[in-house]
Amino acid sequence: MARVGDILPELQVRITNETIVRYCGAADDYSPQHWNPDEMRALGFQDIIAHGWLTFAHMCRVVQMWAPPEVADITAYEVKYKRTVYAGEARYGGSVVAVRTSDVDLDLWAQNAAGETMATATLTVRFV
Amino acid sequence: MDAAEIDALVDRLKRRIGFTTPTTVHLVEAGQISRFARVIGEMSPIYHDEDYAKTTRFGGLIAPPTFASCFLPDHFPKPVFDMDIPVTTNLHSHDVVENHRAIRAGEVLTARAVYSEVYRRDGKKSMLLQMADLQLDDEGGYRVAVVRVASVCF
Repeated sequence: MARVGDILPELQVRITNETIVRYCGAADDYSPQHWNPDEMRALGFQDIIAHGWLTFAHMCRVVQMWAPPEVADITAYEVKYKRTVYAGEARYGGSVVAVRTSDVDLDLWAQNAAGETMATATLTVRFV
Repeated sequence: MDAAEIDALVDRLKRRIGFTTPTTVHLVEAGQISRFARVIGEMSPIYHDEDYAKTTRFGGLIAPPTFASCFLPDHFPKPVFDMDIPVTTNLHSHDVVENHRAIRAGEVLTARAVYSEVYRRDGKKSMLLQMADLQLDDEGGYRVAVVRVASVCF
């Protein structure tokens, strides 16, 4: 059974521009900020940026490495995107902050290679 | 935009609260789930292997927990947000989601988005913050998920 303070397994992923463009196709999200570097540079960005949902999908992988869907449902979450995410190495992790009968509340984080926080989330897992 | 300009915009956009986008209908295909899962690096057989998935409590393939985001582009940022506003940058700020059950391969879902909230947020600079809720329902009318998307404009 989960206990407050338990640390979830960390995940490290290398995000590339190819990953971002492939995610455009998988998620049917073709907003130019995810595939058009010329337009992004004209707006003052250094390159295309990753979808917020791509960052959060990796944060959910951390949860499912710890509580796979066979035994637990992710019932609710709130994710906040703290900075734009460019291609590069990224780390994801989390910890248990509350345990309520079958529900467990988690804090999650995503960091870039410089150790800067890209996103944070609170998430509830229900064990079945 | 300065704070006064944003306030004027907020007054205008408040009249949009309750605006609902046309409903879209989606058949959730196993191949789409598998492709989405591969791109995010999620290789659990529950997303890829029908024979394995049949042995689980779901009785078939399910989608990863963020798959609901695939239904957003038909509704966000347009038509649910009014794009005819004087801003240069529109960024995805945060999401608040209720997943009422897993999305399953082979089911038909309907999606619509409701413009729900608008206000000025002050930080290093003043920004316009808008929210809208994607409602995802199954054929029986059960609400599978609600995805509240927040966008900041400046």
